[in-house]
Amino acid sequence: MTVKFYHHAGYTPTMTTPDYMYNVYDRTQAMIKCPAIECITPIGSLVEPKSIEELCYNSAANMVSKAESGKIYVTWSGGIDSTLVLSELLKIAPKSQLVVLMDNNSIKEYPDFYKTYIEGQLETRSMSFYTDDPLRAALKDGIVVTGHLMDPVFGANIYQALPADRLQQSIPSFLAGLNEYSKTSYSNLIAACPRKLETVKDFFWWLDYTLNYQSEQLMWLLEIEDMILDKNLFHFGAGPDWNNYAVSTPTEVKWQGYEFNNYKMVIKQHIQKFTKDENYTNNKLKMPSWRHYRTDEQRRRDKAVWITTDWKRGWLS
Amino acid sequence: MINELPDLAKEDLKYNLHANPVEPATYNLTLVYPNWTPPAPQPKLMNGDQVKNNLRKIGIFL
Repeated sequence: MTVKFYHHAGYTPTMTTPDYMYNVYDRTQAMIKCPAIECITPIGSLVEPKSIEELCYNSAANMVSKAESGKIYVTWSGGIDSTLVLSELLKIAPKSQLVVLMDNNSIKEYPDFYKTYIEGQLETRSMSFYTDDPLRAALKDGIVVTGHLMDPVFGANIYQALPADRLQQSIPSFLAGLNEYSKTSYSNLIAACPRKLETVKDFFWWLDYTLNYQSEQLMWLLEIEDMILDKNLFHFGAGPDWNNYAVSTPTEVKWQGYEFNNYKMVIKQHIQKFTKDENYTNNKLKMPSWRHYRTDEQRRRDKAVWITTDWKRGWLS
Repeated sequence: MINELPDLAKEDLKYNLHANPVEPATYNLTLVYPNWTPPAPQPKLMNGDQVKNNLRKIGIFL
């Protein structure tokens, strides 16, 4: 029987331009074919998507249901997505069940939220980036939940770097300026989108959504053998409904215009309904969430080279 | 054997979510494939206990 993988560093390329992505896996298989790797979550369909309220409630409810009587360890960076996760869980889970995995940068990122909802009210544990031990310990009596996958649903990290005139460029005009290999590759990928892509802003969302999604799903699993996706690790932006939202929602809804403050405005507005923090909605910019955290040698040693579809890891030595 | 894992210093970009994003030098696609030759499939040998269990199933007791 041929072994199939969810991740294999030997089979997946690194993209260096136009964006930097490791372990690129094309969920459409339209641009980069990789039969050895199995798609964990297919791309979404063009449908009438569920509302943000319903999507958020369902994600949190799923996490609470899967936790059963165990702890829910919420990795809170202080950023928009993990603040959303914690806000939603605070609505439906008892405080005694929640444990916030965080560090000092989390507090700096959103000090008001920390003071209002976490300090003195929720158990906290230090999210050390020099060791996986906090995550391993969490799995002993609970599940780990993250705000991951909201980025590929909503857009691309590189958005901040792209000037407005490039973002609004039409796709035909954009492709005309590229070499033949890129034109063909991008055209194949664009053709696989259920929704018509009009601009470079659309395109870079699609690039991230199709090529970076699976890598983000597996990011932390590469180092922790006991971590199994959707068994004890849950990402808020996961599942068919969020994927349908991603595909069915115009990019102008996810990020209106070109002021980066408007990126994920629907999420910030949803958070505001809970926190009543208008200043956050109006001024919060997406910032890098998790910082540099370990030596190259440690990462090289700890990171699995492959993960099979029955969640077995392999290392080089 | 994979000759080289990705430049791990740059892996920070993945975790730092483009801490200081800069406009790409080019919008052309560049994919770098690892220099990897998958090992040939190896026959799996059962250990002694596995052999004994399989024999028990067909009525042979060692």
